[in-house]
Amino acid sequence: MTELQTLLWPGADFAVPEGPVALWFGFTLLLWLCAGLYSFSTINQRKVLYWSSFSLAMVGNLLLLLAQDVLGFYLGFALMSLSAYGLVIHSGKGAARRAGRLYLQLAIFGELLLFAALLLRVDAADGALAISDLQAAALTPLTLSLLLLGFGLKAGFFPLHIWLPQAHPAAPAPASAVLSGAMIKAGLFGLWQFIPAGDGLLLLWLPWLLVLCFSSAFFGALLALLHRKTKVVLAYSSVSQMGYLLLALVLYWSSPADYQAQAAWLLVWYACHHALLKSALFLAAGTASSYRLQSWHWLALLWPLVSLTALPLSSGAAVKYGLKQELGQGIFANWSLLPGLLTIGALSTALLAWHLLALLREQHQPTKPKLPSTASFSWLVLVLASLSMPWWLTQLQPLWWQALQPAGILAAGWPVLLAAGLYWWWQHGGRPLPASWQDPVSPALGWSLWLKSCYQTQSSRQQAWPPPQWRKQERRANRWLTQQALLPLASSTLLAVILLLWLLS
Amino acid sequence: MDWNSWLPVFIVLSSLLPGLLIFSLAEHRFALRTTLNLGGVLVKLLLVAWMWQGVKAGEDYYFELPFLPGGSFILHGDALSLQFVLLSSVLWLVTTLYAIGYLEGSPLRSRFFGYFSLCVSATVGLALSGNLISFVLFYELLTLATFPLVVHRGTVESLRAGRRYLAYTISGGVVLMLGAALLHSLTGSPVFMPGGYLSPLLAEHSGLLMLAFVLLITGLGVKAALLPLHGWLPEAMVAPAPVSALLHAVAVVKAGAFGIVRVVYDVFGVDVMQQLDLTWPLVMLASATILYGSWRALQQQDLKRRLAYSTVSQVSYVTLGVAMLGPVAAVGGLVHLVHQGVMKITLFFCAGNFAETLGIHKIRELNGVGRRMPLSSIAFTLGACGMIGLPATAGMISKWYLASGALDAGYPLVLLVLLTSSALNAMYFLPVIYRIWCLPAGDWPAPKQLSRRFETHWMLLLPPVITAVLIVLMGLLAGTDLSPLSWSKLIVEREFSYD
Amino acid sequence: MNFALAAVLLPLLAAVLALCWRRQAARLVWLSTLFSLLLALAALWQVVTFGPASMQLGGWQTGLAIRWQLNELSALLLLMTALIHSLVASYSLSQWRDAGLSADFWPLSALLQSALSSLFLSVDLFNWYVTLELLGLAAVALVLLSGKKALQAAMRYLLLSLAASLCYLLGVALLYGHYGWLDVPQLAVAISEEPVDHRLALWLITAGLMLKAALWPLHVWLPAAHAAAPAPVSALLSALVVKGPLFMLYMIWSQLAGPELAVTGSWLFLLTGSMALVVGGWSALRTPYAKVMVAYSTVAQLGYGLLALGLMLHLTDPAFTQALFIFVLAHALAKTSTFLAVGEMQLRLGGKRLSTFRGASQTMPLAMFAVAVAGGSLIGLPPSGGFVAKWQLLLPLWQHSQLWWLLPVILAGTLLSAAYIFRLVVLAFNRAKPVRPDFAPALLPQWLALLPALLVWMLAFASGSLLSWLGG
Repeated sequence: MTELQTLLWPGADFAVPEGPVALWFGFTLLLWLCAGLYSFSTINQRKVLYWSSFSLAMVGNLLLLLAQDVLGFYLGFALMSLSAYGLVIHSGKGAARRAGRLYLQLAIFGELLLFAALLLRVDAADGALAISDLQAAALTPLTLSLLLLGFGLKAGFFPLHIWLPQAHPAAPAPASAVLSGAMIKAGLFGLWQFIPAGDGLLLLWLPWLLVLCFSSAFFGALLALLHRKTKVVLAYSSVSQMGYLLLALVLYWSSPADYQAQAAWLLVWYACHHALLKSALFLAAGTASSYRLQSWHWLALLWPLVSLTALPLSSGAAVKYGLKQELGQGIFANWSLLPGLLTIGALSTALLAWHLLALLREQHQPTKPKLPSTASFSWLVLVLASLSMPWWLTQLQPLWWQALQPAGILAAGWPVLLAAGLYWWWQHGGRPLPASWQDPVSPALGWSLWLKSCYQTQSSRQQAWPPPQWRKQERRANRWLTQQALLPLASSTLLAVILLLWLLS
Repeated sequence: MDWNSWLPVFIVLSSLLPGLLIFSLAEHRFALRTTLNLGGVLVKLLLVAWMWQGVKAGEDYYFELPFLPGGSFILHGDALSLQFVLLSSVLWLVTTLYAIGYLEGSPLRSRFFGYFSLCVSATVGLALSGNLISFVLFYELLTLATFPLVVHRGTVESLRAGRRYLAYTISGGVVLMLGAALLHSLTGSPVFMPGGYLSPLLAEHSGLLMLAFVLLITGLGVKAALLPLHGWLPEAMVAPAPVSALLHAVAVVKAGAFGIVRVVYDVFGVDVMQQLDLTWPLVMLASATILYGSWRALQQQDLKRRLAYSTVSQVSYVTLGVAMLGPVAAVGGLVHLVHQGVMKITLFFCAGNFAETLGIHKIRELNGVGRRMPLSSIAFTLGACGMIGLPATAGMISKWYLASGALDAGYPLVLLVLLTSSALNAMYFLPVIYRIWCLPAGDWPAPKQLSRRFETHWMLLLPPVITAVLIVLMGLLAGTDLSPLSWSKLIVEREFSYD
Repeated sequence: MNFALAAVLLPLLAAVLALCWRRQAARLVWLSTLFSLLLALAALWQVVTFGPASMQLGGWQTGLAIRWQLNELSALLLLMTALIHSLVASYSLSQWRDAGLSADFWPLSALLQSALSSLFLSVDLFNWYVTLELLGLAAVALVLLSGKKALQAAMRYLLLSLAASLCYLLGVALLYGHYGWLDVPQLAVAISEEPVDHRLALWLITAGLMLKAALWPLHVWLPAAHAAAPAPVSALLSALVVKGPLFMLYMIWSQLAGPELAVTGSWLFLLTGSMALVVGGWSALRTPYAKVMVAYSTVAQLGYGLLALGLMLHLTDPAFTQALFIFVLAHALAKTSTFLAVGEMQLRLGGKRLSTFRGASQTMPLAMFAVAVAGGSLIGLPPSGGFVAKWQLLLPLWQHSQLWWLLPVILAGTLLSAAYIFRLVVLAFNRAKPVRPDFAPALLPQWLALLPALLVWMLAFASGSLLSWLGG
């Protein structure tokens, strides 16, 4: 592959992925194909815009997974981020355009930060452009924060999530599916690839990142409960789940060297699990809002929720179990608060799932048209893939089995039941929330508008040069000089010159 | 006759002679004029290609004619000059095509194409000049040859712009001449050489050298549109689109930028620059220009004005790159000389197409153009992406090299400047692209049907398409031997390998 | 020497013949200018090959006789005179019927050439007086060719010219009274042997010559006179006539003034030169009339000559001599071109004002091009002669930092000249309301106007040999 360098840009290198990255590539590809199939029959207007953005974003996403060099990665990343703009604004409605603006502003900002970060990394590695060569170079606070910000803006964990609950609901359902399923994972992928595990500075920062993980998990779930649009709820769920994914990443970074491979696998499993279920859910939400849900659809809708709440038999149970296990082994083993936090997290996720289910039932109208069969098929494929994940991922099976033990069933089950009770009480028995709390408007939209007003100002006209006022005087003086005074003036000057010179010299 | 020494002369003459012939042609001799134009271009391209491979192989092309005491008239083809010659010849080809289509049926075409060819001859001569005096000579000729093009429309605005253009460039030329005279009085005008020729004077005349540097940079800065001297550029965009394209992309602003490269590397040289501590001010000036130009571009509502301010900003990338004095940064600056040219010429071609086909001049009139003129719009989008520095475009490559050069040369703050400028670029280009693609079609001021098969006249369409393809190719295939990047690396290798 | 003598006498003969044979006057004088051009070339060749020569007219011995001296400088100036005259004569021949040029032009211009040529060859104070007087009278008569409207300007010119001659004569008389020599080299020897206070004489001579050469502040007569004259006459006056006194100033100051006095004098020249550059340029920029603009441009450009003279006296650097005479050459060519082209355009477009030239780039492209190209030399753009002169002026200046204040002055002068030239050029590109020609422009006069401009534009490439001839 080295000969690519002499053909493409300097350092260009691509490789067929292996190991965990191959799985990542696989689920991403599956997601894009399914979403494409779903779009095929459901996207009826502005097709050129949709399909060009869709295919460019897909190419970008796949490219960044294949890239072995910094510039190639950046190319894929930028292509993906910027083309997704077309997906976000596809409907052309006001909300979509506002969301798109916010998305694009942050995407560009993220690109720039990322550019700086990559540049600094390459500089630290003495100009080496291969990603593997960057691992040896030590991080500085600047590069680390730039990387976290640059990729974090894409990954969408708290507090860099502000664009996510706006953009995901605005896009058409299949686009939201890839946005939530594949693209935000790309941010995480970047963090994983570009931040070397075991770096000294990183280890110092890990506790703070842990705080970030849990705040993201809780914040997302809580905000989701306040919203009443299914896709917004799903988007906040993504924010919440990105917290867990970041946790998996933090655990990978903190894990001892001999356990690192396993930690990497767990990260990818979690990503795969969440990608499949979240895209299935987005397709479900999209279907529910514009099509009639048939009876088997409800099954296809329930399974991802089961997986989300990590009930036994699901892939969610396996990865959550793995997460807990790893938490108990790494450097955070004696942080006694963490398992409790995870349990509360499970409770809030379950609440979110019940909320979502209730909303979907509320929204359902039997009078809407039937979902085209190709779309149904692609949705089904995603659900089945999520369902069968423990079967085709044999390495996941031990964890899956362990989660199936009675203790595991109990641990996973009671938060869901408790959440059911709590939710019922909240909806029927408790005091309703004040209306102003419902569907809160994100302040980010206001910021975006302010930013826009900064760069779309009216031009200030340049001041014209004031016309000279002394034209008349000049004319008069000229006339006098040339007509009356010329001879006397000339002769007196002559005399004056001679006299002056004589006297002076 | 020594073929090698006459080659630079022929390269200059290959556009000069057709130009002079075209002047004498009657207005209706369309076919002959076109043949002369294109014939000249093709001959020039052949000659340049010949020289290109020769320079690559290490040949020397040197022509000398006695001119002034202590300084001959020298044409010298080296790697650096070839970068600029190549750029101007290729872009001359596309611009000629464009201009033929653009001016179809308008009056005074012979005069226009005559000056057009003179302008290119002056640019090429400037690129090939082997010493400071010859450079000054072509620099002034360029001013004179471009003026009639700027005022070609002959309207009140274009005359105002022309006056302003002259006021700036003539003053700049005089200041440049003062600086050149100062250096000439100290050492004469030897051939440009890597590493400069002023180091023997450093001990005795450092003050005078500094003065000379200030004078030269001021003189060149007028054309390169450095900060306080940029006022003519946004005005000059009233010229016809091919002229703006040529002015902004190749001829005038690049002449200034190229001159700065020459002065920094081949007259003063890295050592003298460092010992005189001249680097910082130049870097600061270039950075300020970059930011200011982008900032002003944001406020413009007229498409060509916005592009013009964008030029102010982008040309200073070149200055910035050479001013930092590091090899990597120099590669960035030199490659941007070419990249900016191709990108900006695409944008101006497209702006011209929008204006000619739909009568669009203001940005707010661009709504929904993407569906009516898809190819031009794609070209525009690619050009704009390149300006922002998005990956897969030429702009990314130059930005990457400039930024890594900045880190390499120890100017980390320049990175911030580049990022801010990219952000500003995004701010003023993305809304335009948004209007083009994402908004429903508005009322275009004056839609015309210029072609039955294409969105506009094919001669107007082909040039931006070619240059847009070039933008992507130069970005994606930057690693090949033919790319401007490789050539810039070759230049830097030669410029930095002196002893 | 013989060639040079012939180049002086031939126009004189032509003048006499033209007076007698008025029908063929034009062709006669035209032929004589062409032949004298050849003769001048031959004289230059002679000097370059055989070295300088001098001759005593009338065979008397030194001191009494009229001495003529031919060296590279005078040969070059002779050539310049012949060249400009042949150009102007060709131009006049090609269009004199259209322009209504009086037949008296021909003998007068031939007389002018003869007088000027002998002035450049003389090195004798009295001989100079005679030629100067001839020159002045011929010039006044030529201005009068325009008829009544030029009467006032011509009379002023005559009066001031006479006053100047008187001043000069007074100075010469003072010198002669004391030393008894009129021959300049002899006088120089005498002065150095017996230094007395000869300042008054020198100042009188200087003031007279400055008035004749229209050097600031004694230039007031020039714009009116030059603007009122017909185009070929203006060209001759601006390009050649003012150069005669300038040449004399150079000779007298460089040979007769002692080193101490030279420095004092140099201040005069530097100051007046700077003022001429700035004030003349400003006036040229402000005037609404085309020919007045060109005339003021002459006033401004003569400032360079003064500066070069002053610097030569101040710093005794031969480079300034070169600068002075290259400037003289370049200015002569450029000004000829400008006046001929402007005159031609005025004639065809019908109007004296600058606004007449609106759209001239379209209606009379060649003439306009001539103005622009010649203007390039006036501004000092490379590779024109004006550039070489300015370059020679600037280069040594950088090495004498005590005179740094001259740099901004030269800069301002250059910018002002660019401003007034391009004011005209920009107007010419105004296509909105072009002024239509009254009758179809002829090509030949325009080409003839362009020719000197092209010559001066190429001067830089010949500057090597020029500089070596003027090396001093």
